[in-house]
Amino acid sequence: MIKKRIIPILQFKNNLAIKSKQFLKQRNLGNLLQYVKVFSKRQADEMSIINLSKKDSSKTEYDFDFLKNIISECKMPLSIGGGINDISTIERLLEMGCDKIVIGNSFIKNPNFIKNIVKNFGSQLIIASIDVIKKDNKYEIFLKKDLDLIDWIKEVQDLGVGEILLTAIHNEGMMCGYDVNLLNFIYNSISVPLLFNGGASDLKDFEDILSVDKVYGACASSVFLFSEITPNLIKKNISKNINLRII
Amino acid sequence: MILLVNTEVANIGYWEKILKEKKKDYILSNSIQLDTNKISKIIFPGIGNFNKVINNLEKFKIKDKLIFLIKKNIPYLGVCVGMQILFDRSEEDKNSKGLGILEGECLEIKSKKITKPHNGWNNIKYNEKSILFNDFDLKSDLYFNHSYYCIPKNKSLITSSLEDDNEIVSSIENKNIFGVQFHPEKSQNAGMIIINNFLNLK
Repeated sequence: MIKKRIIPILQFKNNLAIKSKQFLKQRNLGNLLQYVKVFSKRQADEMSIINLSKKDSSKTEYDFDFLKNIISECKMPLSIGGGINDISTIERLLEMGCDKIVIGNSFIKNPNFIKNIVKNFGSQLIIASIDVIKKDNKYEIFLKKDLDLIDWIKEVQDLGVGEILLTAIHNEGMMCGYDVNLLNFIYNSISVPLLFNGGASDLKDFEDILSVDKVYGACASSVFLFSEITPNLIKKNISKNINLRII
Repeated sequence: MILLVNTEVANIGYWEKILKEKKKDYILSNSIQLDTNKISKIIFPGIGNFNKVINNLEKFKIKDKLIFLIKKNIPYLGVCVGMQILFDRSEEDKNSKGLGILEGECLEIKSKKITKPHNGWNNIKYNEKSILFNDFDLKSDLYFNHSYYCIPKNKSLITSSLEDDNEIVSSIENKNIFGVQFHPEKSQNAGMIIINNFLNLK
């Protein structure tokens, strides 16, 4: 049976891994390569790295020489994202050994970009990232408040994305548990595998969301960076009713 | 020397790294030094869209060389779309025309048992014995990432299928031709067993 995944997710700026809280207050964690090696050694199910390197305020910068090393150390399925808005960057990342591409903002600016990627690489390549923030008890898309969350989820699915990575920004880096209410709120609109992110802090958090049928991946970072919990420890302790890949 | 087929829509760099680690001589299909007489094995890594891959084979003028080598019985390992393009066509594109080396087609996953895209770790079961799975433990998970799967006309070519859905073919074999729907290169230790079995073929 298909296994549910536990996915460490790391942000990086230039060559350094960083960790934010609610997308703010970035903390420098040191060399990204070391973290990739650790998760490789632990045989994580998959890993996601998000590029926040910027030369000026607008365009995300891709240092392919640096990423080549990172990718070749990553002995597990890997997705890369952060400001990707052209086919040639995707081609280069794939060529180096990246497996999937995470795209968020570029889709909002240009939904046709989804079709273009599907045509070149197929749906299975794309993870649509949707960052959600809770304001006055309402869920909003972080980068475009006037876009309805449920409508957007349906639209990206119709355009052919393979998976959706949903991040609850208000919980991100806070280690306060996943926003299960958000999961319930969007549940009916989801028709592709859902990866859920933001707030994981203990074993029960993973169990809570992975026991939901449509959730195929539990993403987390702080819990792996700042606690003793590892993906394998989670799997050993919550696997009874959830299909997980036990190493 | 191993021919590594480069369609520019595949994780070629990761395969290069594996072959370097195993100290295997290889050459990329776009190399000007490519001499088909020296090729002893072919690996076709796959990620891209069926039509794009076929078009790029033509664009880079490797389609004919590839067909020539496969027909010359050079051992071939096709991964994901690298297996699918061996067949006549795919539902991924109405006007698609595969290499037609094997009779059959590729269909879109419409299974009640698995989601599309079928992405993640899953188990297989054997249909026919294949040398590719020597020493492989069926309890091991393999990494899949695809929306289409191949159906050979000759069902005896199917060497394994998904444990939870018979319909979804996970590997095929026909004489010198091996195809796998999963990604052995990303399947950690379990995948390495399969890659080694192919590399050790005489």
